[in-house]
Amino acid sequence: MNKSLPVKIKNLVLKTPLLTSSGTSGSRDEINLLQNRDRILASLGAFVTKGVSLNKSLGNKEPRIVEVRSGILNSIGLQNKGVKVFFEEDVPELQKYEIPIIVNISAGSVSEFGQLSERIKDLDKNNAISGLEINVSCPNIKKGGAAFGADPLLVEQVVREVKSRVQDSFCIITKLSPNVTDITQIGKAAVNGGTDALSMINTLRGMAIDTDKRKPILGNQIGGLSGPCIKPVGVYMVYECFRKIPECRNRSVPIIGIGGISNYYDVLEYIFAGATATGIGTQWFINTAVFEEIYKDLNDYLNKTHETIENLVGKAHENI
Amino acid sequence: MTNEKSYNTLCFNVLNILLGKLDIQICYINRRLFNTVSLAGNLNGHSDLDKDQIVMANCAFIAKNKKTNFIFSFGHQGVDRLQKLSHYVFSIDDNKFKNIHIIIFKDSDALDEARQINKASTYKRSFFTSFYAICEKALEIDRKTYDKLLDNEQGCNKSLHNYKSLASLHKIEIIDNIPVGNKDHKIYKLAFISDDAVDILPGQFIMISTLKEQKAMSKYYKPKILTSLSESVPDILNNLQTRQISFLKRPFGIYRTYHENFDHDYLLKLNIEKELVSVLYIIKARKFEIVYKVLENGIGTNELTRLTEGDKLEILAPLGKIFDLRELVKEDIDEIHIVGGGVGIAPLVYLVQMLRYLNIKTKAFVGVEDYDALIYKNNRVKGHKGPGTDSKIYIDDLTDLGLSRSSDIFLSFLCNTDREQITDLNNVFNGNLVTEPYAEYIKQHKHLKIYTFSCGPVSMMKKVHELTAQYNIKSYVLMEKRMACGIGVCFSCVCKTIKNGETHNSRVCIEGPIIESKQIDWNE
Repeated sequence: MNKSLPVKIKNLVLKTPLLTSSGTSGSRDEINLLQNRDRILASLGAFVTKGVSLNKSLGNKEPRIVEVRSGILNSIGLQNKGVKVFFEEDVPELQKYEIPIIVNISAGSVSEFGQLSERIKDLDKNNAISGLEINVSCPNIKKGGAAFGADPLLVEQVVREVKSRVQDSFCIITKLSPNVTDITQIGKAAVNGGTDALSMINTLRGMAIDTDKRKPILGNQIGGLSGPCIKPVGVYMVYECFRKIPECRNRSVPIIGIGGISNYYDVLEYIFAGATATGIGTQWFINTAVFEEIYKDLNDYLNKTHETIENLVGKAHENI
Repeated sequence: MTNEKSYNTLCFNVLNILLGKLDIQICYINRRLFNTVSLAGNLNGHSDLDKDQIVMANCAFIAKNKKTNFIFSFGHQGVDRLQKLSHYVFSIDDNKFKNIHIIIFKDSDALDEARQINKASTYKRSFFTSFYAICEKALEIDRKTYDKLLDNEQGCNKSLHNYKSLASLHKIEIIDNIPVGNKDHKIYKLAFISDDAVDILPGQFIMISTLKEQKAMSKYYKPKILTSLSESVPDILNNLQTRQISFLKRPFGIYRTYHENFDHDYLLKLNIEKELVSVLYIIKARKFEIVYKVLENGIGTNELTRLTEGDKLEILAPLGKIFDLRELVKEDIDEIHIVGGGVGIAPLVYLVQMLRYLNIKTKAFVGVEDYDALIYKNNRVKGHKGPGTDSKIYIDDLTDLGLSRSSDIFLSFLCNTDREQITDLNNVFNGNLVTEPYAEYIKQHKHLKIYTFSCGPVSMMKKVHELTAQYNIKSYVLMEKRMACGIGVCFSCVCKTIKNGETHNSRVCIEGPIIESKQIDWNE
């Protein structure tokens, strides 16, 4: 194993700083369909699943996706089979990946988050799951959803609730929404609630309108914007949280940078801004070889510069 | 050598279960390759080949029926022998498919290697199969004999045949991008060649990047400073500020594929029993065609129209659930029907290509706007009539694939069209939806066992569903949806389905695109 690529998210050792992003990584079908399955898995530090909720959800009305300039708007609405079926059908397959599995969880209330995380703890008899990523920010669920992510008190409560239910069984990551006035306030709240790491950003709220029909294109009207167009927002927010949250700065609460990454320059930008690891999402829709490409390029870069990822975290802050 | 001999003998005996059923008789055996005491087959008659020195020296055995000589080799006989025999059979057969060379490989890996396009010069027009594929078929036909044969064999996995290609990115180069009909129809036929082999099975589709520079842009994002906006600057950079360009790949069904050393109309001549042909493979396709309609504000389809010969793009393939044709072989079907409207006909033509390989009788119900919507100038794609001739899309290809213009193709024009223009088709319906003549046809043929596949506007597919349900015809639709990833990740391409009374949002890219029509919630 390459010595310069591994990073640590609390007690979780990731062999590379590359993760899938929830919502764009499905749960089991996609990687097994691909010829480069093994190369993808060799390039990943962990696999973050699609959002899982307590009960089955059918998701939103169609159309669910629209292409915009340099990105996409989606409103899938967290379609999933529910946690029970997820453990029956998907987890046994995910275990075969032989990399840490992080389950992205969604719920409509603080107590539901608690219930869901406890359920996962109970169902995870084989210790297949390494972490939970709390989705306090998905903008598509009308109940709660956006409201959670924007309210520091609620975020703190959710994180504390989840943490108290699972204790130290899982590494707890809180995924922050960019649809807030000051993301560092929300980040601090999650840290106060006891989160082990922060991931950011989720999609930006957006809309596209059909100029012929003169109405919103998405079945759900509003959607979440992702893709290269949101990268500057993500980099900025990682930079701000690293700068203003002491636990992030001293890296006791590491940051996972997500948003618009398509190549290794983008990964480096996030690392320099303060991220310890990065999630790659939408780019994977266009290029199924993205993980192995970035892995190789990143490796070459580190070999050339004789550096390690861990030593590069937050570099941009030193050079001002 | 003893091991080899007993494998050969076992293989021969298992295959003989299938050949025996099809009344294909063994007429020559290269005895030094077998344990002659345990060979099941008796020599019956002779073919005109079993005195041929080149054939005798290089083949393993020969079988024949009234129509065809089958010359068998084992994959492990060595490339030299295989190549020599392959070339020889190719030369004596003179494109008639009366002499067919079949190579039996031990496993899927060896089979797959032989099917790569760089093997086209080695294996010419040989057919391939694997021991596993033969076993599976034999098991189906005569379990008792099969079990007896394999009783003493170690290491023979009895649940066997799971041979398919996984999806990956392939580089392609555009051969041609020809408009079909007049400019109002906005239909194009795009032909391309792939750098490597792509095995697209019935029901599967591809995702294609529509913008040739797209991949390069995302990888080398670092902006370059342009010194001048000269003509050498690619089109997209000029317009990047104002024009929206595509971001995602676009899904398309395949219209036709072409295989090296196989003529465009080889299916007209190929006539092998369907149970045998269902275990045979040929070299993988390298040339592909898709048909697309340009949408009013369609970013992707408009980009496609700008592609010209030599442009390089990328596809992700093969994708989608494979429709298992072996079901159709088992079921003993009288007729397959395809019912298509507009560009929805295109993927059905490919289905016909795969079905004709299996020799199943097919009727095509084709609905287009008017006569002009069929006509294009055929210029470059190999194996057509020659430069600049008028061709009819769908019709000419269905004819290539063995459908009769007088009795198998039913053409409906939505708009009134001068009937005089179509002189070579018997069944032409003017001012009709395709579903109208179809309804009439199945009413008259309700005693037949039929499978129907339809693709086109949702209203058309719904109508076909209702018609087929009325006569208890098994009916499938090819669904089309907005897609982002094509591999089941994003859940964008869902359609409402009903299973066990429960509603689901099924992903068209994973659970489809071919879905049984009774599973679809048509009220949605």
